[in-house]
Amino acid sequence: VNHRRQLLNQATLYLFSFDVETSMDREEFGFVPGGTRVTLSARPNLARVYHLYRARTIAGLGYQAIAGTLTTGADSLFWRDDDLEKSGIRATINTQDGATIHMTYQVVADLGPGGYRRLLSARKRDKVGTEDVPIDWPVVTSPRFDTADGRYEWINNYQCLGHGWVQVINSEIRRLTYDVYAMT
Amino acid sequence: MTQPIILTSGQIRQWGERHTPLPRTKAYAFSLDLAFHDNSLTVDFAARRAVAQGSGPGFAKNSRLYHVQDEVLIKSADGAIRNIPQDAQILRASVLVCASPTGGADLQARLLAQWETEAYLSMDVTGVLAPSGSLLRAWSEPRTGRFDETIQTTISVRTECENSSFRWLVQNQLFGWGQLRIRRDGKNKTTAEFTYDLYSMGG
Repeated sequence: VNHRRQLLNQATLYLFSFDVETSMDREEFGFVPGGTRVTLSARPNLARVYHLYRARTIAGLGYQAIAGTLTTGADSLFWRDDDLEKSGIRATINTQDGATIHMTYQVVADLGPGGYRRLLSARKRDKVGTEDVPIDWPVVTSPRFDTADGRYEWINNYQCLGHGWVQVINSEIRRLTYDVYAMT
Repeated sequence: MTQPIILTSGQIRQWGERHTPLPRTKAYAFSLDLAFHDNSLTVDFAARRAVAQGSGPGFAKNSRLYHVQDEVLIKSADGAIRNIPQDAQILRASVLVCASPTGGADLQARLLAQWETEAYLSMDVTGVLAPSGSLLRAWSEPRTGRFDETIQTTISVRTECENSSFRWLVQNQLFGWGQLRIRRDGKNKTTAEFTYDLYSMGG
């Protein structure tokens, strides 16, 4: 079979990180075909966008670094009954210099064997994570961005990827932290 | 062959603004080729949109999933040994490319692949075409004469498959780096060839 025998060039460039503390009053839509739908939101003033190294520019691209606050439009989580999470997240980044950047990303995560049942269980002993021993869940996401602000519109042109951790206590998502990279 | 993820506690030493990146790993999974020909391409030059739809034996001949070294097992980013759909044929594909005001283009695609006779893989693809002179020329080029441009593109891929060998593809997004080559020969026959290397990511 004739096909390419060599890998193509590929690289990732670090853009920014963000942390989110989630609000406890999540909206539970309950059981829907194929799983369960839940909407999460961020706690006001507890969601930050920052550069790990506090740099002013993004290494490798030369653009101004992105820092500011983050407000979630809706973290629409869908926990599938085959122990998968397939969610669509929408959030807004308000940068320190007044720009507004819309961020969307899709989450695909393995909830582990029995994870779906455990996340929804009413019995305390079945719940995922405790205050003393929280569970940190690794998550990979695929962010895209939209902005009309000229200082940041370069970011519209990148497919990005996010490496993150989600902290779960009593089957509730309490914190998120992500590093976002541009695929170049 | 699927392996359950092992949940561990206390991975993050300190929550709050960090000074060090989170751990990350990347591993090559397999490659994807798509080749569209004249009658499967529709380009609206005015609106800067292009649609490519492929199906049938002629399309499947040059559109497939494969490993560049013809391996059938790989080590994914989480360290597990995984089956890959080596030499799976793309039965049908639909690609939509829309120019963005910032010079690049958004890409959405849907693929249906068949691996041997055992498994069908449905792949949902989103991504971008990088802004470049090649892309601008592709939108504005005259409709006759030779033409050969290559455009860099990156994608993310989500897969659905009922075969347990490829359950790991359902549980993980793949990320692809690749290129689109648009050619027109002296006989005015146009081809659009996408080729990507897909990688799994881990933390």
